[in-house]
Amino acid sequence: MIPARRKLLVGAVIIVAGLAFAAYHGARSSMVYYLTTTEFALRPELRAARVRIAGRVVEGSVAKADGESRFAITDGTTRFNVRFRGPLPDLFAEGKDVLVEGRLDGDGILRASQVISTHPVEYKEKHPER
Amino acid sequence: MVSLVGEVGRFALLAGLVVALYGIAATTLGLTRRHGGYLASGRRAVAVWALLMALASAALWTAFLSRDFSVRFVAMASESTQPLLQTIMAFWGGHDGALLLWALILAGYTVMAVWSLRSHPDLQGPATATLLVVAVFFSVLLAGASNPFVPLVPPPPDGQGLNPLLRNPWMSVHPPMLYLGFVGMSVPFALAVAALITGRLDNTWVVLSRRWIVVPWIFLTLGLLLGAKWSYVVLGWGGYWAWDPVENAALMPWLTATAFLHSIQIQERRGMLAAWNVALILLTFGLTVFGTFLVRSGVLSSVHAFAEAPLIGYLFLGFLSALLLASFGLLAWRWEALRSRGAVESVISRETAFLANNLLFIAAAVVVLLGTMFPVLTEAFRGVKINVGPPYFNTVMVPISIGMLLLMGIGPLMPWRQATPEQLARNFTLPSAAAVLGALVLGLLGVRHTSALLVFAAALFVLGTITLEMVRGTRVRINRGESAPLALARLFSRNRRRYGGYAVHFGVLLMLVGIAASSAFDTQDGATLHPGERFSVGRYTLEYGGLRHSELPGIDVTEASVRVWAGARFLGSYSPQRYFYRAQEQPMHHVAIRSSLREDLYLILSEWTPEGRGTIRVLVHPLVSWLWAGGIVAALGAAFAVLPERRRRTP
Repeated sequence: MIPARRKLLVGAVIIVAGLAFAAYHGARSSMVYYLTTTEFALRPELRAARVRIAGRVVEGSVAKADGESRFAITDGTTRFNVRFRGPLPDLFAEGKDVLVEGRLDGDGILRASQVISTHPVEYKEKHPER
Repeated sequence: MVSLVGEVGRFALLAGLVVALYGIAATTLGLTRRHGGYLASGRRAVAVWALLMALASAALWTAFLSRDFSVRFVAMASESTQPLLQTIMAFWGGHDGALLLWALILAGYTVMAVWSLRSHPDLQGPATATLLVVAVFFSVLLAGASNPFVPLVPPPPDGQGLNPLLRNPWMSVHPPMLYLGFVGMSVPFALAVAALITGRLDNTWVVLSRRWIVVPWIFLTLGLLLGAKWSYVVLGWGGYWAWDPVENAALMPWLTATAFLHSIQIQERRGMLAAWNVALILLTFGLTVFGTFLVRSGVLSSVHAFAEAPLIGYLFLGFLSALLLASFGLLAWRWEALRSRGAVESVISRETAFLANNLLFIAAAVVVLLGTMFPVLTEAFRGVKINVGPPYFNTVMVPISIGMLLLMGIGPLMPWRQATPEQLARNFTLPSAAAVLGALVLGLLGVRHTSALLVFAAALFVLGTITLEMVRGTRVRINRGESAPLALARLFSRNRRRYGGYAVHFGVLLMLVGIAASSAFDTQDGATLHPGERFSVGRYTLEYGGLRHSELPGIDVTEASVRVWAGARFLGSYSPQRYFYRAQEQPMHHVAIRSSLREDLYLILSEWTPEGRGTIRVLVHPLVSWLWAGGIVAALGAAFAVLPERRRRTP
C-alpha cells in the first residue's frame, strides 16, 4: 500500500499546481503596465498593451460633452490626450495627479477604461493612518 | 519659541532608546552569567521604557489639544477648528504619530508579557530581550527619522488639518485596532524565539502563545473589518475590498496567524509540526513588520516610489532582514530537536484536514504576497512595472475560500489518526445532503453563478456539521437529566475552546456568504435627473427631489433628497451628500445607505449642474450586512474560546 505520507504529498502537489495555474491565468488577464507618460512614449512596443499611466491633469484641458470627458495628462515632459466615458473620481481636477488605465487607439489618444485619483504628495498613501 | 511639550516628547523618545538598549545589555548579561540581578534590572528597563513611551504619547496629545503648531506633526494633522474627537485621533493621522502608537501598544504588550512570564523564569529572560530588540527598532525610528516632535519654525497660525478621508468615526478606531493586532504578534514571536534559544521546545511555548495570539487575532480581524467598513462608507465606490497593497499588508499576517492557530492543535494533540509552528509564528511576525514597511515606505504607492524611498524604507528592510535571518537561523540550529515524534497514519484523518487547511492558508498568503509585490518584481527583472488587478486575486482566492469553507466542516468532525467509514457516514451524510439540497433549491430559484452557488452549498455543509455537533452534545446532556436550555448552555460553557471555535467558523461562513452574494449579484445604475423625475433600479423606484446647499465650518455641503419606494411601499427619504473641504480643496462623498439583512441600497450623489439637475448613482448589494455581522460573531467566538474554562467542581 502507498504510505499516507506519499499520498499527502501527491495531494498537496495537485492542489498547489491547480492554484498556480489559476494564478497564472488571473495574472495574464489582469496584467497592466504601470508607467509615467514619458516612459510610455519611450516604449513603442507597449503601444498595443493595456497600460496604467500616471500623470497630472493639464490645466485648462478638461472638456465634457455627451457623457464623455476629454483631458490631457503630463509628467512635465510628455503629454497624452485622454478620452473617458463614465463618472470621474472625486479628487479629479485640473492640476491633480491621476492614473489612467486603458489602451492607446490608432490616432494616439488614450481610451481610458478607468480613471483613478491619486492623492497629492502630502497624502501619498491611500490610507496614511496605517 | 521652543515648545515645551515638544521638548518633553523628544527627551522621552531619546531616553526610551537609551533605556531599551540598556535593557538588552542587562538582560543578555543576566542570561549569559546566570545573574538574577541583571535580569531584574532588564525587567525594570522594560517598565521604564514603557513609561517613557506613555510620556511621549501624553506629550503628543497635549500638543494636539493645546494646538501647538510649533510641532510640525501637529500642524500637519490638525487645525484650530477641528472637533475634539478628530483632534484626539489626529495622533495617528500621519506617519510619525502612527509609529508612536505602534510603540505605545508594544509597550503595553511587553509589560504584560514580561509580567505574565514570571511563572516561566527560563523563558522570561530571552522573551524580554527579544521584545526589547523590537522596542529598540521603533525607538530608533521615533528618535530619528520619524520623530513626531520635529519643531516647525516659525509656527504657522493654523494647521493644515486632518486628511478629510480620515475624518470618520470608523477611522478613529480602525488604526488602533489594527495596531493592537499587528503589534500583539510580537509576543508569540518572542515566546518562540525564547523557546529556540533555551531549547525548551516542548509544548509549553505553544500553550502559552495560544492565548497571546488569539487576542491580537481578534483585534486584527476587527481591524480588517473596520477598514473594509470605512472603505465602504467613505470612499463612495460601494465596495469594501480592493486588493490594495495596504489592505493586503494587513491580510497576510492574518492568514499565517490563522494557520498557526489551527496547526498548533496538531502539535498539542499529536506532537507533530513543532518546527512548522515555530516557522509560522516567525513568518507572521515578519509579515507584520513587512506590512508596516510596505505602508510606511511608500514602495508601492506610486510609480517610482523606490527612487524616492526615504531612509525609513531602508531601515525597515534592514531590520526585517536581520530579524528573519536571526530567527530562522535559530530555527535551523534547533532543527534536530524539533523533529516530529508523531506521523500521519491515514489520509482520512483530522491531521490531514489540518494539513490541508495550513496548505491553503499559506497558499493564500503567498498569492497575496506575489500579487502585491508584482510591480516591484517585474521592475527588478524586466525593468517595467506591471500591476495585477483584482481578477488575479479573485481567480485564486475564490477556490481557496471554497476549500477552506469545506475544511471548516470536515476538520472538526474528523477523528484523529484514522476515520472509519461508519464515522464518516455518521458525521457527514446529513450535512452533505443539506448542501446538495440547498444548491438544488437555489439553482431552481434561478441562482446561476457557479462560484457563489458553491460557496452557498459549502456554507450549508458547514452549518450542517456545526448543528449536528451541537444537537448531539446537547442530547447527551439531556439524557443525563439536564433540561434542554441548561444542557445547551453547559455544552458551551464547559467546552469554551471547541464551541468558541465553532462560533468563529459560523461567523466566517456568514462573512463568506455575504462576500459571495454581494460580489456576484450586485446591481448598479445611475441617472441624471431634473427635480421630480423618477427612475427604477431592480425592485426600487427612486424620485429625485432636488439639491440643498449648506455650510459647516470649513466645509461646503451639497445634499440631494431622494425618495425611495420598493414596489408600492414607501421606504423613506434619503440624502446622499457631498462635502467639499475648503482648506484641502478636497471633495468627499457622504453616501446614503439603506441597510437590511437582505440587501443594501447604496446612494451616491456623483454630479450636479448649477440649475439643480443631479446625477445619482445607485448600487444594490445583497447580503452586505452579513459580512459585518459575521465578523462580529467570529471575533466574539474567538474571545469566548480564550476565556478561561471554569474548573469543574468535584462532585
